[in-house]
Amino acid sequence: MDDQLTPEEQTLEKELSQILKSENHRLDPNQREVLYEAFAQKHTSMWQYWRWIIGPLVAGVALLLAIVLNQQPTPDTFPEFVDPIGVVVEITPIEWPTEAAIDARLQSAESQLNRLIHRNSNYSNQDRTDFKSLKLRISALKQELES
Amino acid sequence: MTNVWQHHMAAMILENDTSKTREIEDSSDAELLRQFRAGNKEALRLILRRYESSVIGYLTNYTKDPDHARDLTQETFLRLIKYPPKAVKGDSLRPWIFSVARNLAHDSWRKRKHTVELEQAPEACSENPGTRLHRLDAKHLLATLSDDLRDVVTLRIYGELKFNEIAEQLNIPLGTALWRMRHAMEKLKHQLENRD
Repeated sequence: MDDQLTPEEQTLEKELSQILKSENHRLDPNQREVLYEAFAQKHTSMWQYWRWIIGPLVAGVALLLAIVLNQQPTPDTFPEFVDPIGVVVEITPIEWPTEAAIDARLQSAESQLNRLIHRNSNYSNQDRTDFKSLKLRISALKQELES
Repeated sequence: MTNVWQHHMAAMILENDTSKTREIEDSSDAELLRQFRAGNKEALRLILRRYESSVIGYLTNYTKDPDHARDLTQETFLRLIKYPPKAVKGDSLRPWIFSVARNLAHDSWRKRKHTVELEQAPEACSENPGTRLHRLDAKHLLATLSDDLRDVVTLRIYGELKFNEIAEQLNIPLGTALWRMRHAMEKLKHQLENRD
């Protein structure tokens, strides 16, 4: 588009530009300072704004993760899981007490095991197999005791 | 000892600032804007260095009041700080900056409802060798032009805008922008011929 001015007009424009732009205008130092302060404030306030959003967001996500992870305990971290085994193991030694005591322990082991199975549905297949074998073992022990 | 340490620290900070400025001083306006939006103070410093003088010059011609022009220039850059554009057309901030400056000047003119006459005090002539004009001539010419013509000439000279950008900014057809510029140049030529 610039070439739509004639060469003479272009020369005049150039001369005019040279003259007018030879003046070096500057803002006053205090005006400049106001600009720098506004710039600093803008970026500080933006950070504060994000801090108030990101902070609670991170805390919320952490809380949510904690809740979710807590709801899915692994057998290793679930102490009650060990108890029935302990009970069963405990009743297998040679020096058995009275039949009634053995029967009571077996009942207790069985009911603990049942409670565990019904309390949490998130056990793995391996866990379930272990539970079954424990139940079978308890049943066998009970039958043995009855006979 | 403390003074030496302070001096050393100040020199380090200054050196750091200077090197930061040097890193981006040749950057395009688009890159400067990106740095500016990210909060880099050096980008603001460089934008001011690039545009401050021409914006003040433009607004001085528009308002005919150098102090008011400085205030409006400050306001223009405050707008840039508060509401920076997300992108620039043609890799230049010029159209955006001059559009804001012109709008502010126009609003201010409407509020003030008067203009202050351009200072006519004798001024040292800064005649460039090989040119027929000097500063007083140039200012006088601009002052005698109608608002429409002066708008185009000042946006062209101070804003270094292309005619299509001027047309877009003034909301006029491209041909009209070009015609106004030629008409202003014709007037200048006529004045120079009469003077000779």
